[in-house]
Amino acid sequence: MRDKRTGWTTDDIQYWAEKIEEKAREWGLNFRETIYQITSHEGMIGCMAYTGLPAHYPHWSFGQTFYVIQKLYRLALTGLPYELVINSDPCLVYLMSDNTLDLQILTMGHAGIGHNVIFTNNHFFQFTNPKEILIQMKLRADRVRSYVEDPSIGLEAVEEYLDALHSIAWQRWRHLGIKKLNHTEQREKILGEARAKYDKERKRDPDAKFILPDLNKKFPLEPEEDILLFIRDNHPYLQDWQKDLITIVDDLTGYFIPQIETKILNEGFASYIHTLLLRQVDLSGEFRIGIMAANARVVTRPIKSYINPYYLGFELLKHIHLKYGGYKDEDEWRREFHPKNNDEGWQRILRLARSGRDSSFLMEYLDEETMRKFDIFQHSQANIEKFNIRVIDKVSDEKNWREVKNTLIKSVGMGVFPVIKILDSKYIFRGKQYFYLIHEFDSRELDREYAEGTLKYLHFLLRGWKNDVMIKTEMLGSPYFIFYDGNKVTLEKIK
Amino acid sequence: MSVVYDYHPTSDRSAKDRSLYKKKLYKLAQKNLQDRIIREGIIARSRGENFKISLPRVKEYKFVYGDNHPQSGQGDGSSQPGDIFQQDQDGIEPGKAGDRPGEDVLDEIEITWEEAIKMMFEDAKLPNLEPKAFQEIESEYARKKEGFRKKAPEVFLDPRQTLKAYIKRREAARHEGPIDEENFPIDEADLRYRDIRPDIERHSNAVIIYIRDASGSMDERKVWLLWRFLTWLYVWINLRYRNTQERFVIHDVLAQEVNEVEFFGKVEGGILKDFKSTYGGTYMSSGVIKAMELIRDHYPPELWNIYVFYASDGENFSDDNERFLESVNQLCGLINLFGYIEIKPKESLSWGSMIKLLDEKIKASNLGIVKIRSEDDYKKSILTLLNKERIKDGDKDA
Repeated sequence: MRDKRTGWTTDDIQYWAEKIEEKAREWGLNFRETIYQITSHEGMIGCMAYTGLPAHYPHWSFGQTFYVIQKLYRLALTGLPYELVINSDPCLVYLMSDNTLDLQILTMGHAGIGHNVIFTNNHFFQFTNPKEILIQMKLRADRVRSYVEDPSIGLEAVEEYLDALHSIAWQRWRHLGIKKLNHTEQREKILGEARAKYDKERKRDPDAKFILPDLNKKFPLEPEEDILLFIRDNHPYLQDWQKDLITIVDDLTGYFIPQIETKILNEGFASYIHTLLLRQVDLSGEFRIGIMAANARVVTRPIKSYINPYYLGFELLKHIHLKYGGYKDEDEWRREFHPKNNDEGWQRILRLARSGRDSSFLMEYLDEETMRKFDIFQHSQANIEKFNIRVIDKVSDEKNWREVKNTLIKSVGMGVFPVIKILDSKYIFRGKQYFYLIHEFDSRELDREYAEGTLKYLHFLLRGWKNDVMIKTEMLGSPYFIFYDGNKVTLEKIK
Repeated sequence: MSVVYDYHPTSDRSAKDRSLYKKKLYKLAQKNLQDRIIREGIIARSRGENFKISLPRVKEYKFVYGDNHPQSGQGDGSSQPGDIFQQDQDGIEPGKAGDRPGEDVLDEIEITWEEAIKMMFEDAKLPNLEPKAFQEIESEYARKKEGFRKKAPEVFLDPRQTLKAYIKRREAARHEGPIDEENFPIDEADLRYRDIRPDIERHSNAVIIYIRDASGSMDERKVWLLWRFLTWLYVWINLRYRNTQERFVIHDVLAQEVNEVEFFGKVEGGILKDFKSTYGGTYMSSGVIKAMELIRDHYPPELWNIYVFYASDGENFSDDNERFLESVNQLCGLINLFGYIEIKPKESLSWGSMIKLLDEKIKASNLGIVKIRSEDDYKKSILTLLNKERIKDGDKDA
């Protein structure tokens, strides 16, 4: 297929894909086979709306996302990200047919190699089932559609249920690689703690009694992070299709968590790889210009903005490479670097690719020098003449850089989602039983309207089993309970 | 090894979800949306414009942080405390937008008129009266026998009638003498065709004549109720015909044709155009007679599907009653449907006496009588009226 406007064919793409891949393998990089799919820009928007997955269960929110993206595209607020890549095996990469060849080459280096390397090697991704995901999604989509078409269930019921599931899907176990204790193990742990306490007491007082902890008083025994799964496994009246939907939504969320946790590192690494790789691949002058221009759009220093993961990731990796690789300056790095040298900077970068994620990446490598170099600051709400605007209150100067760094690290990866756990599903409070949640407060308050809306969704999911839900959180500087009984929301300040 | 291939999906995979989204938005925006669809849609259509409507983003609730805590940003090296942080679009990732509270962006989503009306009707759950696309009606009628012609384009050939004619001719021939049984072919004279053209004409044109009395007792609330109800009727009728016209008649003791704005007493160009009743008092017959004049002069019933809706609060000068009932009777013979609509908001005391009279004296089956107290009566009333619609000769179902 020769694209009339941009003048390349699939053969050209094939040629360059192989050339880039060859170079990357020369470097010793390990990555999966790539499949490049060329699609129109509408197809691209369609793909993006579904987070790239070719099959996906139907839901109106994807329709909404489609329009949002389309609108942003029309207003040119986002250049359509020229890359869309899936964590699958083989690795699926979408290329836009409207793009020129140089942009395609850039995309191939960036997504086809860069992201691919992270997906393949980063240990936070090891449980994401990349070989299965595409088929799984297709089967799931088919099942959801069958529920929609089942006259005893129907579209409205499925939509309603999915809406509610989506609302608390992110409140789930997020500690990749750390094993979660099951119920039996939790009992063991509590008994073990009681025994240890008793042993310690007995040393002081030989008559001390062993107090058997009441293991039935509350359920779960330890605060539970997987809210959806808890409902699925304990609500006595769920139908099979509901349990299936819970599993699907929870699985899919879990699938995306590693990508969320490594966003800055991943984009930085992919940008870094495509920059280096393309420098080394034999490209003619006109390609170079096109590519550098496209590159510039991504890694250009902004004036003031939210953190740009491409920029921060790329610049920080480059900084690491120069510093630990012993390069005097960028020119030297440009001239001298080759992976075969295996300088310490390059080693650190590869190590990050294998075992890093945003929080640890930034924690380790952001220091006063880099904080100031990248001009990272913190901004807060201010009320100026009745306008609600945001104002910079701290910059990375000697006094405040640590605090500014802390604010940043709190917000990366899954840090953007509040930690909310089930404290007790049968909590007795003023004579009534409550499904009791706790928001583990870290100085960031919940959005109240959204919290209330979510509580209502939770209540909906618990229908037939629990009637009252409550959450403990902090608002306006004080601890609060928020209750919902199916009728109205009540807020109560805790004295 | 990299593999490259073209991916041009034949189906638009987001189409279904976009339609789900539109439906959801519609449900949420309900009341106001209906008014806007009706009002703005009619205007836009008459101007030949695409009907566009703004639909708000649906909030997808989840537990998220509010905005009253410090957030991070990056600058070009010159940032100082006290600088204003502009909320620009960098950093907002598509797909995650909408998770953050405060982004109630009004998106302008273009719904076509047909989509909007379809949603309204689905929502009102008007059963068995699904508006048919014109094409459907056309093709249905094409299949039905509407009369037979002897010469027409091949596609209209009617095999059954042709065969009938052939058999008839053969029988007649046998009667006159022996025939060659094995060699009696179908002749051109046997060919019969369906004659559907006049029917297509008829099935594509409709006119609605609205009549109301302009006496002082029609107040703003009544007019509003009436306007909404009539618009539903218009919408319903309009969907079934290729071409729908409307005429507006106001009367007191004399009738006068007016435009839509004057009919509904709406504001045009900053001036409240209200029909000023010159004589006071009501002769209901004047309105109906005026409608008959319009029909006589502009809308031959053979070519037009005619709907007349008469809205009143039921008070007439008694010496006019006889004349009124007679003219209604006459009119019913010519048209598809005569709808008599009495508007009486909840607070009022009694129905006018006209309803009783109509009930007793008019035998026509295509007279529909409805009473509107509030919007809750709309659906029932629409059904009543449309059930009374007369099926014209040759129609199997309208």
